[in-house]
Amino acid sequence: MGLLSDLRVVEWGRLVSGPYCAKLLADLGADVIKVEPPAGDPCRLEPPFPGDVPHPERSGLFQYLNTSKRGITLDLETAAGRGLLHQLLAQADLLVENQPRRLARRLGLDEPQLRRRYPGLVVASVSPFGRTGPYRDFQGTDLTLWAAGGFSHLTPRFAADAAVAPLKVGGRQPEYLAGANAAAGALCALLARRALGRGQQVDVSEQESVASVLHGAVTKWSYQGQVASRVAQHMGAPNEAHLCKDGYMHLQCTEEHQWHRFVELMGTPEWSQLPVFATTHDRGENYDAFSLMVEDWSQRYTKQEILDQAAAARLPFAPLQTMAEVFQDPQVRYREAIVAVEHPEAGPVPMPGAPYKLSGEGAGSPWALRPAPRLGEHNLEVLERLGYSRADCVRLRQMGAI
Amino acid sequence: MTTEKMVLEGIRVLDLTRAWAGPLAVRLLADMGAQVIKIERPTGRGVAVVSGKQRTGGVYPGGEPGAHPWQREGIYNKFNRNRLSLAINLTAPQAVAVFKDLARVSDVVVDNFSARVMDNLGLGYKVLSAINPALIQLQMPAFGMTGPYRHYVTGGSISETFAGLSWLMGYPDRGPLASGARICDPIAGLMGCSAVLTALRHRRRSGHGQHIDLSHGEAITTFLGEAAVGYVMTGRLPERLGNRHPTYAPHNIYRCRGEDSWVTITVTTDEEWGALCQAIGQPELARDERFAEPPVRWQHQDELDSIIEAWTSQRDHHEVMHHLQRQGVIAAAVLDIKEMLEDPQLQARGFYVSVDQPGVGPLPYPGLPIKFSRGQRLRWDPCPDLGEHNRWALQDLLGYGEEEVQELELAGTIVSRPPGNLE
Repeated sequence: MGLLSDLRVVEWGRLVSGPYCAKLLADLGADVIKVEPPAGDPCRLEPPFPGDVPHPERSGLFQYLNTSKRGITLDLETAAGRGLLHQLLAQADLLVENQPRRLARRLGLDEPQLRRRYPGLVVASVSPFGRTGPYRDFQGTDLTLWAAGGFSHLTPRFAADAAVAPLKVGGRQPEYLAGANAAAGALCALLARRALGRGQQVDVSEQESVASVLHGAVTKWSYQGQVASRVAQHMGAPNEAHLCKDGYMHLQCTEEHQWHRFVELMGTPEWSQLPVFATTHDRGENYDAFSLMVEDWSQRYTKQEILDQAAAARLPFAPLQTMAEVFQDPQVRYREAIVAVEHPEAGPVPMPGAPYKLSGEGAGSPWALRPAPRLGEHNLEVLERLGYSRADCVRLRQMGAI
Repeated sequence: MTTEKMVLEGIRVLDLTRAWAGPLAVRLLADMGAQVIKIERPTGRGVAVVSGKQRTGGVYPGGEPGAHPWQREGIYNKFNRNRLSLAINLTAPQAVAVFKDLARVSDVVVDNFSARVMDNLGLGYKVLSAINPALIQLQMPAFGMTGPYRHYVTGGSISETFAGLSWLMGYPDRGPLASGARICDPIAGLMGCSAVLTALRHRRRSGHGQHIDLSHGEAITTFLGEAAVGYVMTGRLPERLGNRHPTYAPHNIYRCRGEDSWVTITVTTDEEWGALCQAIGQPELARDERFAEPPVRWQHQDELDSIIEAWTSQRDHHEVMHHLQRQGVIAAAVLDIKEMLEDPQLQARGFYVSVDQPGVGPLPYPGLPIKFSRGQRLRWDPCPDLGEHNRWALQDLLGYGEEEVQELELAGTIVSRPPGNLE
C-alpha cells in the first residue's frame, strides 16, 4: 500500500516532463496507466542503451522515467482508441499530459473539451512555454529552454568576457523541473478538489520553471538596476572548482573566518596578511595569481584527502563527483539513494530512488519502484478491468485501436 | 476580486527555514495559499548592521541598506513573501513551550537546520508527533538526517558537486565549469514542497502525520536519471558536450547581431532539418550528403555550425527565434533578465508579479511557476517586518494573556527589531 495508492492517474505523455511528473506519483503508489501510441513513446529511442545498442525496450532514459506504471498502447487517431481513453479518463482523478496543444485539440483531448466531460478531473499540462500566450505553440528542448528561461545568459559563471558563449547546464533540468512542478501542482489541485468543488487545469511552462530558479538576477535588476551576467569577477573567491591530484574539488570560503581556517589548513597563514588576498573582493580581483597558488597546494592531494582535512576544519569543501563516484559515495550507499530495478528486457537497472524519505505512521515502504512497462504490456489487464472480454480485446486489436 | 479559495487555503505551516532551499519550499506552499508563520531568529535576517559597517552581499534598493536593512534586502524579501513573522529566540526555554503550542495548532513544520538542531532544541519528530499526531514535519539538511555525512557543513554549491551535476557541465577538452545560478537549492525546495503535499493528501485519508527527511543531493540525483543509468548501461561516464547533444545536430548556441546576443537552435528530426534549410534560405543543404542523415550530420556539425552562425550573426536574436519557430524549427533567444521582464510570453501569462514591499515599494518578483485555473493567488503579500505578527500569533492564535506576552518581550524572547541595530 503506497501513500498515494488511492490515486488514479492516466498519463498521455512523451519524452521527459510529463512522464517524470507521473513517475513521481507512480513511485509513491499511485495507479498510473501510461498511454502510448502504437509506435511507443519517442523516449524509447533516446539513449543511453546497454552496450550502446538502441532497442525500444532498453532505453535507460525511458526505464528511469516510467517506473511503477502500467502501459497500454492506444491509437488515438481511431475513434475506438479515443473511446478507450475516455473510458479510462472517466475513472481517473488526474490526467498528466505534455502533448502539443494542437494535437490535443484536434483529438478532442484539450482541457476545455475534457472539462465539459469530466468536471472533477484534474488535468496537469506541461509544455515548453505554457498553454496560453503568444508562444503557446512554440516547441522547445532543454537547450532552448535554458536560454528562454534566462539561465544560459548567466552561464558559465566567471566568463572572462561576453565573447564566451552562453552554456547549458548538464542534463535535462528544464524538463525535470517542469515535471516536478506539475506533480506538486497536481497534488495541490487534488487536495483542493473538495474545497473548490471541481477539478481544474494545472498549467506548467518549462520556460517559467527555469525562470523561477534564478537566484538573485531579478532583484539585482529591480532593486539596483544591474543586469546579471556570466561575465563577472570571481566573487567571494575561493568559491569554485580547483584542480587536485585526482579530479576537482569545490573550495568555498564565503565567510571570512573560513578563509582564515583555510590558510591555516594550507600551512600558509601569512597569506591572510597579504593585501592582495585580504578580502574576498581582493582575492577576486587577483584571481589568476590566487588560483595558481591555491592549486599549487590542492594538486598535492586527492579529493578524499582534501575532504577529510576540510571536514576536520569545518570547511564546506566538496568533490566534483563523477557518476561512478556517486555510486560509491558512502552517504549515497548508507541512505540507499540508488536502487536496482529488475527489468525483464534490460536486466537489473540501478537508478536514483527516492527524492525524499517518508517515515511517519502509515508510510509503509514508500518508493517501491517497479520496472517500466514494455510496449503494450498491460493492454489486456487494463481492458479487462474496463469490462472487456478476451474476445473484445482481439476485436479491438484487429480494429487497430490497441 | 473573487471570493474563491486558494488551493492550499486552511493549511498552516511553521517555517524555520533559512537561506534558499528551505524558504523556497515554503514559499511554494505560501504562494498556493497556505498560512505560513515564519519563526525568525531575533538577530535578524543575516543582514545585521554592525557598528555602521554593512555586511557584504545583500541586495538593497539603490545599494542603500538604510536604517532598517532587515526590511530592505531583496533576496530575503523575494523568498519570504506571503508570510507572517514571529521573531523568537528558540534557545530560550519559554520559547520552546511557545513553539510546541504553535505545533499543536499547525499542519506542517519545515526546517533546513543541520541534522542535530531540532533534536537539540527538543523539537524532533518524536516530541512534535506526540503533541500533534497529524503534524507533518519536513527536515531538509543538505545531506539528509542520517548517514556518515549528516553533520557536514555545507554551502550553496556543495550538494551539486556531490550529486554529480557539476561534473557534467562544460566542454569536452576542458574541466567542468560553474553554472550561473546554482540549481541544487531550487530542486531541493521543489521536492520539499511536493513531499509536504504528498503527506497532506495521505493524511486526509489516514489521519496520520508524517516525517520527511530530504537530502539535497538525493533530490538532485533524481534529476540526473539518464546520466546515472547511462553510466551503468554503457560503463562510460557521460561526456561534457558543451551545448551539443549526444546524437542530434545541429544543436548549439549561435551568435546574433549586437553585443552579447545569442540564439539557441536544435534539430531533433529530419523534418525539422529540412525546415531549417528552407528557413535560412539554403534549401540545397537538405540534399547535401554531408548533412543527409542524422549520424553524418552529427559528424559534420562544426561545418554546419559555421553555416548557421553566418546566417544568425546578421540577425536579431528575437527575429531568428520567431522566424524559425514559425517554420517549425525549435529555437529560442538567449534572454538576459531585462529581456525576461519584457518577454511577451511571460508578460501574457503574468509570470512576474508585483509585490509592494514596505520600505522598498512595488517591484516585480518571480511568481509561481504553476498556473491553477481555479484557486490561483490573486494578491501577493510582502515579506513581513521582523516580528510583525508576534502579538497576532501569541494572542489571537494561541490565546496568551497580555501579561504572558509582556513577560516574553521583557525577557527578549520575542522581539520586533534586531538587537544591536538601534540607531
